[in-house]
Amino acid sequence: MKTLGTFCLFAALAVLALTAYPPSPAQALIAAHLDYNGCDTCHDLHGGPALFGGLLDDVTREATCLGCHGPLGIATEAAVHNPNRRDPDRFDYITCMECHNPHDNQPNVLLGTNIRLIGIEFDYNASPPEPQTLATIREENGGLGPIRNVVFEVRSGAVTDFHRADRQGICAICHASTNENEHGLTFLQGATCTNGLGCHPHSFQFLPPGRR
Amino acid sequence: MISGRRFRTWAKFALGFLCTGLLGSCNGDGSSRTTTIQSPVLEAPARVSAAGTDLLVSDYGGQAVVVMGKDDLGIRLRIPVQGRPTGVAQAAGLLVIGNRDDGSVSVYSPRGVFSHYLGSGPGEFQQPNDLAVDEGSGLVYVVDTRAKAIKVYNLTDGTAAGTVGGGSLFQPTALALDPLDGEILVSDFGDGVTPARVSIFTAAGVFDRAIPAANGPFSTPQGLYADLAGRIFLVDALSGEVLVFDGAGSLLKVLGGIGTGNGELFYPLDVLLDEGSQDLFVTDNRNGRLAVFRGGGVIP
Repeated sequence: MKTLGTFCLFAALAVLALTAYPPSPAQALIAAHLDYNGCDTCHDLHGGPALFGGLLDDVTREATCLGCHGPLGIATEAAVHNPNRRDPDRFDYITCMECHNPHDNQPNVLLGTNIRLIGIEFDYNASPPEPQTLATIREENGGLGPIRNVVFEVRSGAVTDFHRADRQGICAICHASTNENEHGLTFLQGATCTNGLGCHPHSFQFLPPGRR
Repeated sequence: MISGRRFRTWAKFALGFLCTGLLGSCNGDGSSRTTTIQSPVLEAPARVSAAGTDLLVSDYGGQAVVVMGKDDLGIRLRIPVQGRPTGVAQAAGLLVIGNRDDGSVSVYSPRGVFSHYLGSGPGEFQQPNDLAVDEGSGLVYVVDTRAKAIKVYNLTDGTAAGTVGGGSLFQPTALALDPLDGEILVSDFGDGVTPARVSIFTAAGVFDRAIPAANGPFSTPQGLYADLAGRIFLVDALSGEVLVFDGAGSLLKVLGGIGTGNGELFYPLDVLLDEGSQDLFVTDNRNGRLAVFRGGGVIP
């Protein structure tokens, strides 16, 4: 009887664990990343710090992304967000993970589904970092910016929501104020980029003409 | 029609050729001063090749090809490029530059005048990641990453001369020519089933072998170099390492390591050995510099 009770207790705990927590990150990795190098690409599985799954340091994590998404890599090239920054350990270096979730999406604030990998898992401004249940990214403004909701999904016409009038598009979160120097006045007047990817195409790392 | 800006650019380039090739070290303005490398002189260097006593470095982020001295790393000349330059080489007095943005490879004359494209011009390549020139045969080998092939052209007129690796390459990123036997060495990320490797083809373009034969000590192979001693130098972009193999594929030494400090590399993309001094030059992309491992013990 005691054995049966113990079994029931463990079974109940197992069911609780499966329903109370989301799928494990490894299950949520997109196929291209699963096929890459496995968990130990980003996680120190033996002897690393227990917090946050034993992630590697900032430089290593950044290099992991750049390995495929950097210049002359084999995947979609990452946009240049740190042209004059060299060290991911610096506070004003925008790391890939400050906008991208390497495992999977969170739903966005409009209850839509963000395109995979956009939106961070944790607010790293907090100590310890706080889990984010909705898709958010950090608003970079020359330092550690606040966390804001972000909407980045495909519309019915297969057009991606880079820019939105409500300034919750992936670009407008950061490029909507005085930190967008070249177009600062326009954005200060409340307008959003009307030509969007026409000037800053995804295929050119969002770089405008003259910077490609 | 050559615009005024382009004319000035190439006038400086032609002067640079004279300076670096015939007159020794000098700047683009004809002076004898040199510049010490300090970031962000190089914004995001990608590929490097030799040009006599100088180096040719493609500054991918800076959109320029930079001519630097091997000895003092002084900047001899900075040649603006309309787009992000990839592979770069000098052979038979000609300068060859790959362009990521318009998918072309351009050839320039010794006077710095645009001569011709390889193939049909812009759009000929889906992603011209790297190139190498065999001066003996006069052939240019271009890695087209997305086409998963090495495309071969005649240097002098740009006509196509065939392909290498079709069906044997998965995600090729860079290549080198073995000076000893003309073998073609190609860095390849693999495809998830086939691991990352260096695929080696005979001079005739027939697949011969791969290094390593099974899972190896690298995952993101980029630029590589084969030296006169039969060694192969390979950069692994993710780990920030330069791996040195013997001709049979045995790992001899590991240089560098990921980081931003002195002697560390952050997303390196290419490597070049100076056979005389045994100095090893590495394009340290995210650190925005050219790293040098001086000879005399650091290389096996």
